[in-house]
Amino acid sequence: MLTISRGRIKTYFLILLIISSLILSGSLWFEDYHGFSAFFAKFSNMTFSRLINMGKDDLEIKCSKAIIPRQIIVNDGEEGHWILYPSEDKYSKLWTTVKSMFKNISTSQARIRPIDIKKEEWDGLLVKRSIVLDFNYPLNQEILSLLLETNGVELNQAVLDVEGIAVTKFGQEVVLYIKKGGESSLYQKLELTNQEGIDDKDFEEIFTDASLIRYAFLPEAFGSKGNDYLAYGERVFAPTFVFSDSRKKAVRFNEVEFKPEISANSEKEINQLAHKFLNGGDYTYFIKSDGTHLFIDERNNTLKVYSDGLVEFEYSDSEFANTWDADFKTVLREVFNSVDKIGANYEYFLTDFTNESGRYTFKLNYAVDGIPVVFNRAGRLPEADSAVEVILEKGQIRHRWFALGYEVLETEYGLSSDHDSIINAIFANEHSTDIRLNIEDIRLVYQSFAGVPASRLPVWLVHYKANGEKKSITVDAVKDRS
Amino acid sequence: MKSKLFLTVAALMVLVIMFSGTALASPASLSGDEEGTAALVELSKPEENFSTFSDLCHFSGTAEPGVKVTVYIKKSNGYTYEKLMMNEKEVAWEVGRSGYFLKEVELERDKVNRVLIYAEKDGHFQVIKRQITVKKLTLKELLKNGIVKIEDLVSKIIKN
Repeated sequence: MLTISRGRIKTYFLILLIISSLILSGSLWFEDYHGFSAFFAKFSNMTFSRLINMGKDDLEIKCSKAIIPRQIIVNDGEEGHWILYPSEDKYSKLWTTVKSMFKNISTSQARIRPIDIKKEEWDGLLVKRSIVLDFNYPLNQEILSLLLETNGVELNQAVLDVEGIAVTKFGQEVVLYIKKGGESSLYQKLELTNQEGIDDKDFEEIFTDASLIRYAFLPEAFGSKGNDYLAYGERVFAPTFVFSDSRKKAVRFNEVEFKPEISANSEKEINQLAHKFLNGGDYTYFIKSDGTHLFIDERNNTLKVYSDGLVEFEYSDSEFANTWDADFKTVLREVFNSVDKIGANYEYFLTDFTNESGRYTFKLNYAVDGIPVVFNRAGRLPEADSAVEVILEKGQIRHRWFALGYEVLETEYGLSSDHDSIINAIFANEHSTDIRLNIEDIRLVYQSFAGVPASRLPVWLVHYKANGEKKSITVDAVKDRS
Repeated sequence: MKSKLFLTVAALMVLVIMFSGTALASPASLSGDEEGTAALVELSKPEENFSTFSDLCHFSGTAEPGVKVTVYIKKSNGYTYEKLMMNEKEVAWEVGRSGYFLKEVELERDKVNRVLIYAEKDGHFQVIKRQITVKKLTLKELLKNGIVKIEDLVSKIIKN
């Protein structure tokens, strides 16, 4: 017969108390989360992601988080379109599947014969039953091998410099299309055999998910690419909703509070930042007439803190200069190190990179719940919406970023704008109907006015041309508290 | 005094009559034989005799700002077009200052939807008819579009 002594019961009870005290203190530490379930979720996520990433190069992990499609466009082959952002589960599912398909092709020893197609065929994929993944930059060999974790396996030349991937699926027939960047765009089709492809359920779920925004593809909705008064870019989508309140309310957004991480008026905070970046060394400190704080250390490393929260840091790294020509991985590692230095609590992802004769420029953007954050500096909408820019050239590293913190508030709002409200807002902005408009892009973003703490809801950022002149406006995506 | 009161009442009545013309709601039903009095709307979508697998259909086009557009549908075995209702609300909108509109309307599946678009402004109106077939997803199409897998189908048959 099993007997447990009183002493042993006491020991178990003590262990239980210790565990519960750890859990309670844990939930206090993670104060942005609330309750037991959230603590467990965070704890299990940390553990799970650690288990998954065990043995992976740190750079691979950072790449897999930051190098992702800007958007995934899902098309039902009829008039329905959905644009998925990285925070959505369905985005992750599709991206994981396509990545695995792409990895199979990239590392395949079999000879792949890509078939060149016309740009029109590529554009036409948006009106077929397909998914289209957009990157803004060509994925070169180094990025691809990190992203696909190919462990040094030579990649098939057919997939290099890809900047757009599309998959069409009709029953069991899976066809992969690629758009190659570089000097001249190239569109190709790769017919796949014995390919698992995308699960039909993953596709169908999106078409019926009322919590996702349904979009109209404007060139398709208006029968052509426009008329004398209004024209659309090749890939312009606008939100639509059916005459159903429940559908509108199903699409939810969080209110987000943005606040500058550094107060330009706080000498203490500014000095702490200088101490962190200039490694505690001696420096000269000025305050310029426009309120910009400027620090220069003995190695000529400079740190500038603008009054609206923009920070610029320029420094030289002799070790980095020595390995400059070694490989692209070194460059990439340095970029992520630079971003880590900022200590931003944001999700961030690469939006662009260029290499002009050894001068690398990387642009990264913040996202909250997968929705990009754009910065409206001095009341002007940005030309380029990057929150972080890192420029590397022969051991000299320059990076600038908006030092802005955020907190997702618990208030939720429903979508309350559609194509008509956006187009009407553009005409209202122009104070005239006698104008030729060319709408180039409509995107959902959080807009933050740098340097000003404020609660923000998502807006539609519209880039357009009015009689040839480039302009941008924002239109509220949500209005009603519900 | 009496005449002043009479004048005020008369003026109010004139005002009510004048503005009631613009505030008039679209008719509850239409025979479909109506001929319009003006070209108010240029419809891009849906095209005539349009057929689709999706029960959500785009209604897009251009019109003068302020034109009110109402969608009607011919009921089965009916002779008239009734207002299309969704969530107990009529499917209607007013064209904004841009003059462009794009709305998504839910139609009945597995049916030829006979739709009438009624546009009105300043006492003028226009009638546009469209025939939209929302196809039923047949087994062949379900298989063709990959919505159903042949192996799932076979396993279901075996189980039953």
